[in-house]
Amino acid sequence: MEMTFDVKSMDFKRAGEAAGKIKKALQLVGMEIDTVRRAVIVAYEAEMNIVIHARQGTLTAKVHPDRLEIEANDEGPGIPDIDLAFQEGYSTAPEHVREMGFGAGMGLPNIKRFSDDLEIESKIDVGTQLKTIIYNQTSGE
Amino acid sequence: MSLWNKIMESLELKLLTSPETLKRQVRGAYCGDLLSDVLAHVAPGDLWVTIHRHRNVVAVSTLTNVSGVVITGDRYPDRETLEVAEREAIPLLVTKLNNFQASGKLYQIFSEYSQEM
Repeated sequence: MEMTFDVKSMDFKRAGEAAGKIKKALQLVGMEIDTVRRAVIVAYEAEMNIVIHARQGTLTAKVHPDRLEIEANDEGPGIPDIDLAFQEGYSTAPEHVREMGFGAGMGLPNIKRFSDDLEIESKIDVGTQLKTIIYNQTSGE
Repeated sequence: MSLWNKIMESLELKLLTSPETLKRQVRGAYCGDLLSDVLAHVAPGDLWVTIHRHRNVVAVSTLTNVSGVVITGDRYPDRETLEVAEREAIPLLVTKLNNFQASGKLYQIFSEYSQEM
């Protein structure tokens, strides 16, 4: 099973919808509770990164019996220093977004922490591709 | 007295969504205003204590299966946020207490409650 959702820049009304749909689908196919929880965190953070930082993008979930792949592809400014972006507390989110409780510099660190495998590629002024794998198991953290 | 009633009384909570939204069992509480921190640490059934009152609070609540949201500091969500919360069956409650005071009262309730059990 594979599903892809369009994610729009600065659309805080629909933010979280894609992650919510992925959650429902994973529950329907009977993935482990812990797998669903980790997938929700990864999917929501990836979705919010597109909403906050990119011009537009997509969030994709590929469901296999033993694992789940969550991918986020965006057209946007790209990440100049990927190591820095993974540093907890580092954020380039604008002030009005931080006031809502986003942009704490925990998005990518959360994605790394709750996924089992992660690949990221980014080109300045082109966009960012993020691929994560989450294995379907009861305690994966 | 049910746990919900005890919490509502102690924190002087006002329920803004319909009573039907109070359907989940409260298992504990978590206080936080950074959405990523809450997403990573809140447990299903927790009551989430926060200063935020925008609709993304409902999105995070739905994703994490919290039992309800306590919005502190006498802040009221807008109509749109209430509508989303009603649709998603997430109870939104407001209190005049601040994060610290509300969390302290909840901590006390849960300490006593776990001793009773």
